[in-house]
Amino acid sequence: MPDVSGLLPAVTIAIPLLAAVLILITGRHENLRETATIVAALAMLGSVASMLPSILDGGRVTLVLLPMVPGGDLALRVDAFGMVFALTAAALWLLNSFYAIGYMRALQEHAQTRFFFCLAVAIAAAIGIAFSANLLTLFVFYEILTVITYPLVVHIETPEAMKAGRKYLAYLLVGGIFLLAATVLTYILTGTTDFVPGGFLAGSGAALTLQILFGLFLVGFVKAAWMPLHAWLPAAMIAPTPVSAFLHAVAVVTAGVFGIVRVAGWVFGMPLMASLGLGVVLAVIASLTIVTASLFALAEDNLKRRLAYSTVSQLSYILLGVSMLSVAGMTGAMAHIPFHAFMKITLFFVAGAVIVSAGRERISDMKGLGHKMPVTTLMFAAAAIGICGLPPLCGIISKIYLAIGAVEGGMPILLLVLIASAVLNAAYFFPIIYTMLVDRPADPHALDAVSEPPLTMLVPIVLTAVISMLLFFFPSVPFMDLVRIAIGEITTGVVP
Amino acid sequence: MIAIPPGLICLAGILPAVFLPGKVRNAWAVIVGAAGLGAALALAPSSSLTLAILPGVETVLLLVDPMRSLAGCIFALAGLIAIIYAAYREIPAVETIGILASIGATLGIVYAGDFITVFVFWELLAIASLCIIWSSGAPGASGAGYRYLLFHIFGGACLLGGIAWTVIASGNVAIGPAAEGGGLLLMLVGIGVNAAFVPLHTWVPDAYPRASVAGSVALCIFTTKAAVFLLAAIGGWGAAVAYMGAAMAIYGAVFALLQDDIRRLLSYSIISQVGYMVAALGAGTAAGIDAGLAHMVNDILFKSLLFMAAGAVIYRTGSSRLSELGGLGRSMPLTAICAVIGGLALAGLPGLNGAVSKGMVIEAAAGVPYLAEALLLAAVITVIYVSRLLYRVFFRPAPEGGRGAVPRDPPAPMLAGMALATILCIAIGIVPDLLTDLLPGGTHAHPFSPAHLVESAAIFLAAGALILILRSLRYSGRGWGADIDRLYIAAGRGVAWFSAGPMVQAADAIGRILDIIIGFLKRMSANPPVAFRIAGMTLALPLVRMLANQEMAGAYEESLAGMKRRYPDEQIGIWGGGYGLVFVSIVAFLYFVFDLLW
Repeated sequence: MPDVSGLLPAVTIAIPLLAAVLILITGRHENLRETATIVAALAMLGSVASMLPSILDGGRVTLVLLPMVPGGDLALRVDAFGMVFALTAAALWLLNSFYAIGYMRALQEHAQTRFFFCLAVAIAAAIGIAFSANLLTLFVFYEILTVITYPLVVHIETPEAMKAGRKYLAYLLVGGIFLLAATVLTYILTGTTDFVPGGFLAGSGAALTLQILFGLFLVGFVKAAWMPLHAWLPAAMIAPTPVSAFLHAVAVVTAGVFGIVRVAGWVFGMPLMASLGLGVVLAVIASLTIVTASLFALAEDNLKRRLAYSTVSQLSYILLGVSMLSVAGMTGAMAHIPFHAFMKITLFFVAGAVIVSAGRERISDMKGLGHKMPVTTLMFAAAAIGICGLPPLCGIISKIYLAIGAVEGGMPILLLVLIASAVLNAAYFFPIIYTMLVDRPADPHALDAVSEPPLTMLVPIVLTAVISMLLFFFPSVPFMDLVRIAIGEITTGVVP
Repeated sequence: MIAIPPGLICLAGILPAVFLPGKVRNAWAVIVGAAGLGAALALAPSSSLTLAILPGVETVLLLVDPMRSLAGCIFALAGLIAIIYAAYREIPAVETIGILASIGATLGIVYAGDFITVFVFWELLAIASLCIIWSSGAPGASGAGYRYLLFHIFGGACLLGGIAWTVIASGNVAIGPAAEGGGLLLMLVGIGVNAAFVPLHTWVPDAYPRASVAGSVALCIFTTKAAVFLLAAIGGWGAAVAYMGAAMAIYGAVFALLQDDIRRLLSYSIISQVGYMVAALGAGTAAGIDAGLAHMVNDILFKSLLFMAAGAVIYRTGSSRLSELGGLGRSMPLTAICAVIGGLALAGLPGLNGAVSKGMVIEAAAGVPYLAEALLLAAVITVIYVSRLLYRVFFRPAPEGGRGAVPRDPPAPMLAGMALATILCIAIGIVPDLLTDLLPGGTHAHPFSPAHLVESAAIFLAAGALILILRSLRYSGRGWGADIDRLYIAAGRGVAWFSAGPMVQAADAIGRILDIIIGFLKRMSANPPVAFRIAGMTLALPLVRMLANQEMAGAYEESLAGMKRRYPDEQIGIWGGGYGLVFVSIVAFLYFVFDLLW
């Protein structure tokens, strides 16, 4: 199917922006304000889903928002890979909205209007990143996402939070500058920034220039939290849990790895990456990040921070998949974006539920919680098992593709990274499962007041866990199908 | 014809089991186990079920051939026996899940037609076993379960690596000989963890004695034998694997001799007997594969029988130690009869099933130098440790200061489970064709041929002589607890220490240094011209002191100090944007340089 022009991409982005305005207007009437969020989330999911059939047919939807210079317009193009991100973000924003409403009300948080306003703008930016047709558009939405998530990170406004927020901004804004530099350099080299399946940089400059350009991109996409530029992510754990969920699953880090995959597949192209030796560089960074972050997670007693290090490690699975420069590796990398998002958001939802219901953040204080919060903790166990790459959750699927991709890409040494990481993942997740579900508290009455969280939180927890499980049984619907189309695009250079 | 994979029946049975109350859950578990067995028995030859779940991968959930039918039926049957045995009390929910999932995962591995399906069920089996271990609540179960899991995650990941290697080399996911080189090594390590290859075996004696008495019966059936089956299904192994089998056979037997805890003893016995199977499969011939499979079937029967008897003893006496037990032959006669039959089957007495397949294994081992001799040596040690086990638990007089109440035979479900296994041990022992007719290679056993009878007699005579000379049955004490797992635990503690100590400290140090640098830059950027001026003047200070006269130098120092005192006149934070300008100009400059050079 050829590219078709349509307004839907812009509508999809406009919906949450409109909701943001409504949230500001209705700020004093909580129920009305929350209605705006939920209706917008539903409408946006519907809007994204309505484009799905034509994308699955191999079509693309394009729209120029603002003509500027050739190759540097503000333009949107919905393709299969963008759809992977957009669908993940839209689905999880809906669940996260319910969860956030329950969480913020249960803890009687202040400044809830600002909170929901920022979330709505942020999701618009995330969808914008997913639908960007070129580097310039991607950069614009990427920067909006950075700025608008800052008030979310510093939500509690303590000096500690402000310090964490400064760290967050410092890393991400500096990264943004690098992304701008990379975009400008790309434009200078080729006269365009439009994404082309299979890349468009080949032959446009000296090897060293292109290698440096890739380095600029890599630093630019610091949202992928690769080490040693990861410190902003654990620091941002100071934010309320729905924000953590948003950062880790819905939008922010996902935007980082999305950008790197986009650049690898649609700007450089795998053959050029291979001839420049960039796969090896990326593989080294990803491997070190995977192992080091897992070791940090092992020593961390604060649940949310342990999860943060887990995210750092898991995101590098995606970089690792890209670095293999093989079809299976790229498939694993792309598939891991939605799969990891659904599982990780479950874990953060549970961490927040434990804060709301039991007021506990340290793992060592969570002994026996499972006897009081059976559903919540079981969902945690399921999602943790999934992140470890064990059945019956979707994590095992990306792991299988990554393993095959390592051999296919001629880097079987990376299998050792996968083995070490599998052991370390289990080493830091299963003690949590044991503590919650099997162990008993020293004081038998310590948990008397604890119960399951409110339904607005419990239902999203169950749904994300169940979806993670369904994605194991039906991975093709729709993510693997989309990934297959995207892989077809970048390997053959033509839309299938 | 569409056939239902028996493993999926057991897995589907888990969900209702979660919600059913105690006694009903027991009945439900028995029904599911029986349904799984029925489905396995009813599978039509050469039926299959292929699903395209993943793009580009043909996942074959069901593939029926003689080898798979035999293994599927015995695993389903043993699983049912384990459930019946466990039903002597209300089976805890988690243990029910674990047992049903173990059966389902093992049947999944057995009937799988491709490596990806094998891998998925392989990982599921590890989690299922973990459920069984953790549900016991026994002291040490948490640590043992954790180590068990880490071991099997490691093995699973290695297996995945080997599978990936093989899939790329062969171009498809069908089960077949492993790729050369690293792929072969990874696959051997991966399967080796589950098959308890020495030195990857420590999880067996670590975890199995810590499960509940019913849990250890279920555990002893599946994990190691599923690995043996996979070895048989892949095929094409060489002498190295055969010698690994011999090493396991001797190592396990020797350690079994040194144990005091009966279930720990039986755990080492598993390693030893799996060694026989691995040796037979490593021999590589069709007869070797038949022998390995036959011994797998027989070991499942007599080993689960012994674990059931051990469980009955522990349940009735509360003790699991050879040094504390004794005289139970009178008070638990039925248990004693079953245990003796199981023990003698393990020892290889003609007329019981162990002799059938042990003879086949040693016959198949003749093709590999010294292999048969090693296995015969292990057989002699086996007779000794079996004698010691049976003697100390059932036949010697009860030790002084024994426990108050006289124990009696266990509840009916336990007896029923033991009786089923006992009958099968005897039946196969007397009529070997019951088993050998089902073998894929059509090998037959001749346990009553003169040569085999002489061989068996020699084994028993040698063992008897050693028992008399060394008085090994008298050996007492608290048993030999050490194994190389001490090394692994130390290594694990090392990693934990490293991540909690040096790594965190290093990260903190880096963070502090960064803070200092950032603080310095921030102060600099508050008023860059003045900052540079101060820096320059400070650098020049020694020169001024050296060259200028006292008065001028004093004025210079004073102006510098004043500048420092007043600095910064006003704080202008230029976070992000300010650096951005610097970086962009650096990038532009670099590009300019490159453009000139190339």
